[in-house]
Amino acid sequence: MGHVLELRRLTKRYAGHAALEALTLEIEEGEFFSLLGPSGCGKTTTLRLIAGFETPTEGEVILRGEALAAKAPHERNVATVFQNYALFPHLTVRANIEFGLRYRRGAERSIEPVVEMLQLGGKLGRKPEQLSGGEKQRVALARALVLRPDVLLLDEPLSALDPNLRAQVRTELRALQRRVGIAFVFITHDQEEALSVSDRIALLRGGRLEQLGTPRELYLAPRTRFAAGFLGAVNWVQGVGVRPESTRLSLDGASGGERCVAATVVSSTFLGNCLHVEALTMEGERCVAELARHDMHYAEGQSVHVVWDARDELNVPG
Amino acid sequence: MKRLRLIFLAPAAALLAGLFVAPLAILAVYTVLTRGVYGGVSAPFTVENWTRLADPLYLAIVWRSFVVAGISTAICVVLGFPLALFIARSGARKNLYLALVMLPFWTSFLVRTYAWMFLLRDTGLINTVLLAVGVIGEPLPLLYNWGAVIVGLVYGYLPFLVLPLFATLERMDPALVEAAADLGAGPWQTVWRVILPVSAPGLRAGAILVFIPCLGAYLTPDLLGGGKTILIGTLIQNQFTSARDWPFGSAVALGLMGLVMVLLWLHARRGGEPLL
Repeated sequence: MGHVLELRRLTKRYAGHAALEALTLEIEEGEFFSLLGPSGCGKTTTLRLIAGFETPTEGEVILRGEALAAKAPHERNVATVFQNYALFPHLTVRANIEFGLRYRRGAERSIEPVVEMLQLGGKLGRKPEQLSGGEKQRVALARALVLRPDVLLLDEPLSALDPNLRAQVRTELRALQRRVGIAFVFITHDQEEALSVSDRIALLRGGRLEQLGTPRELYLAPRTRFAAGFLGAVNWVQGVGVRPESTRLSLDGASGGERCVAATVVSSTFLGNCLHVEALTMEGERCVAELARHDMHYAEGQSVHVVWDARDELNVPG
Repeated sequence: MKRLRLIFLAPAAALLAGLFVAPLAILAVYTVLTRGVYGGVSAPFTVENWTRLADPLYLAIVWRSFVVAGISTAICVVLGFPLALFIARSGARKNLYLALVMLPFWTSFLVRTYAWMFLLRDTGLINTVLLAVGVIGEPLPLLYNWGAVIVGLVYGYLPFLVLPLFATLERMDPALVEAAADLGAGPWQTVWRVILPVSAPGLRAGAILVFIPCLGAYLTPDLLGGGKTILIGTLIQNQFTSARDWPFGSAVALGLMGLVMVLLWLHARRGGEPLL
């Protein structure tokens, strides 16, 4: 399968400050692609450039082989799910979903399949203000998907939801994407969200591409300290990085294939599903070991060894 | 605490009771009395002042006032909507533009109306320039007609439409406009299908704020209409001065107030926003 969307050296500068600098990406047909990064990294700018809400300073957005530079947002066959959903408050759910049908060629004539897929059958007569957060999100998805866009852009669509609903909704989102087969470009600052739903992730930092890869590659083989730290917690011990879940504590020291360093326990935190024990090495490096609940009790000030398997070290070049 | 509240409320309450409620009550009593020979009122009580309102002569004046106020309001809507939208979307310069909209309020309405007379009369700026350039052979009849009255009303009350509409448009989520474009709607379709309906409460509030003063306007029709254009405001004024019929003037004034209150009630019933 070829790529549906291509960004070529896409750049956006505001009054001297670069929001996005020479971003080059190819997004494959039917791919769940995430743009991940902290606020101000350029992910939202990228989405707005693709949708056409902003004009690039340099570079190109190419959709199905066609450069979009001269096209206004309403002429681009992409659709967006906005962060706060931006449902039209004066229209019913049905009218919201039907809004774009009269403008877009290739759109589904009937809203029924989408309504059924997103389980909105009973809500068609309601106004957006009468919907829950999850329902609003499904209406926003339905309104965009009914147009059969080449690419669906999602701007932090889970951030407005109740935290305990998010994990469930992101699973549903992933299943939905598989079902419709449309490429999703998903914006998020939450690494867990990105890891759990994406085929590939582009990690952005300060307007530049920091690393591009599958969730596995980013988590297990980060190429920079920033990437290592953004995708999850890392202990930096003796110049190498080790994730807390690969770190354990021992009173006896290392066994075969393992490396170890002497340390003193600083604190122990019970997190329900596990324990986080923090220790300070002689060199003053803090490291956290994620331990099972039934592991032995480590007292504050106790002398221990921080132990890890050499295979679990993150090989960060920088 | 409760006493303190009473103390602070008392001056305003006294002012309202003395200068608003009491005159209104007097006016209400006047409407059921007979006219005095040299103005004022005298006995006996009568309902004739109210029944006279149904006279076709006066109904025609009421109807004409509604038409003039309606046309003026419609023009204000057509001019004010793009203006309010422009100001709401002009970012940092917003406050400058709002100040410009309010600028006319810094001088007296009377003086500004006279300024319009200087512009519109036969020897006024417009006619003088057009004559000098040779576009016209003799002065255009710009002043002392309905057109001049409507121009004056639109000029005077346009800010009352722009301000509440601006407030509504500014509160509107900008993502709604982007969402419309994103779903394929062009700029005009976005205005028609999203911006206009979403800002309808502000537009209605502004239209009422223009319509009501236009309905009772006295100064503008009197000066720019040259006394040839009788509207409700002029009618009331005539009753208290030249006609010396205070009871009938009171009935017209209260009748107008009643009409306005019905309009406001209709607005409130549709869930409209507060007008000020």
